[in-house]
Amino acid sequence: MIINGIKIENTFAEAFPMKVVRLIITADSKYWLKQAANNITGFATSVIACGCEAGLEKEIKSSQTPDGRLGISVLLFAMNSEGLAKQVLRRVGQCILTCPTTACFSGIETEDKIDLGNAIRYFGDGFQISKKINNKKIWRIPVMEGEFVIEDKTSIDKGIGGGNILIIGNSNQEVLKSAEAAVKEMRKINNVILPFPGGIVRSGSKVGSKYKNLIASTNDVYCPTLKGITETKLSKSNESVLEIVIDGINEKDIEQAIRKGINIICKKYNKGIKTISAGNYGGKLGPHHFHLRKIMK
Amino acid sequence: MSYLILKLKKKLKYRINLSLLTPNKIINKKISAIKNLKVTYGKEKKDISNFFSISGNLRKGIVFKGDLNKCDFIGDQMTNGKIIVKGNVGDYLGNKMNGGKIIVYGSSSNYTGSSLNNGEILITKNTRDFLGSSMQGEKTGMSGGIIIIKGNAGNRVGYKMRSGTIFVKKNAKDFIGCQMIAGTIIVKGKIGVNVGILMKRGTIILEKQKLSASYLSYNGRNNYIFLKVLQNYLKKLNNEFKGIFPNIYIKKYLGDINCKGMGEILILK
Repeated sequence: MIINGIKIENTFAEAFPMKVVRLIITADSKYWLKQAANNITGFATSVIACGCEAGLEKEIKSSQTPDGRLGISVLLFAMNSEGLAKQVLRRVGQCILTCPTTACFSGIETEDKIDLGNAIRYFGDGFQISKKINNKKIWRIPVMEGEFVIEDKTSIDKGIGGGNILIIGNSNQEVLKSAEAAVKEMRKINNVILPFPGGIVRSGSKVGSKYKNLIASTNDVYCPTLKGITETKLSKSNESVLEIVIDGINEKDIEQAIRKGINIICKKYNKGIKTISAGNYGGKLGPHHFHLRKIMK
Repeated sequence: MSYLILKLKKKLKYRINLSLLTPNKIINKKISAIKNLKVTYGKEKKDISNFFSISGNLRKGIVFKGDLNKCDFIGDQMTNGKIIVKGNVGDYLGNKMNGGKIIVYGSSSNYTGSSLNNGEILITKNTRDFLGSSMQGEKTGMSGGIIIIKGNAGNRVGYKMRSGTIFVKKNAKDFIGCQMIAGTIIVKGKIGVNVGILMKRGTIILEKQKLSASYLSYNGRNNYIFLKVLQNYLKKLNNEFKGIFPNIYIKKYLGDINCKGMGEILILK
């Protein structure tokens, strides 16, 4: 399949099941909202070393937040509920509780719940106050600024991690420009996040390494500087590859994000781009397969 | 007709206990069976058909018509459905209610919403003493749900209240939130004396007030974000609450300082 001169490889992105939580953070101003959101989703690019993958999902109008202030929703993904609960506790405790003017609420409703404020409340040292509003409990934790308001529990849902595309081109600058445009477009989709810096990964990995303690190492088949000394998937003219990793709540939205990303590259940012591919492990890693050609049909 | 309509036939001489007439208790009963239900009238047990004409069906709920100020325990232990009263009601309206909604187009008497667990009670006029309180001898009052009074309330609003929300649009008399354990009471009008005396925890929200009681400690002003959460929820329930807390940077008193002082009285203006 070729779209506007770009080859869409006959391959698929392989993704795996995760657990996901959506948190709604509110604050008095956009500035503090961004500070809180950036902090809680910081150092959360890959579950391998960060404990979770997290990112900003969308901004929320004040009319749609529980406390009528500006809001932002973030998604946090981990391999299991226990791991997610641990990350939520740490991150909310260190990044939201500490951030001026913020409050934190659950943004997802399922039967499966983990502690949110119920774990953080002990910081109040017995001075915390609970309020039951609409059959949900919120905690008012006294802090030096005044009060930190946080919902008691948050639901967790099934999620999918590891959806991806690879953008392969003949110029570093053009590949980066295309990837940036794709990220901008993909971020418009709800229920997905792009957890890496600016939504882009330059260091895609393969499973394993020649070093026995390392579970992942550089994806040498896509490294342009290794052409000639390693089995490569790049042509002689290919100079750069960037990856966009997509985590989402469902397959449909990940597919839509992939479609939007590839579309914008092919239609407007195709200069210097030769191939769009995707990373997989032959179907052994996970049950969710995003076939690029099927998505782009 | 989708409501079961019970119209009071005559003025009652004695008090009558209507605790048997909630949607969940009569859901499978035919009208003939409902007519034969025995209710306590004074010291006697009598068929309900002696006092009410009964028609319609229960699909949407029950409608009571007439001056029911001697009819007690309407909506007692109700779990779901809807009761509408077109007239005044007696004591213990919605006692130990666990769900559903009661609307009274009139006034209610004492102990409205006593030991309420869940659900919603709306009174369009006034209510008397012990709103949302405990029944006599019980340790805790209302423990969930919401009560809205569009008029005035009597003494001891939220006595021993443990959770839930009470809203009084106009005035309330003495001892608001007395021995309150938790929950939220909002009074938009004037109040009597001894507000929050012996309260352990919980929140009482008042309009412009100067409090000088010795058992209260002035805490200063701050932002109370939870009020916005509460307002957002209440607004969805009833339009009465739109803009109920226009300002959340407000004064707080703590009390009763003789009972740990963990209760709070917030002053909106």
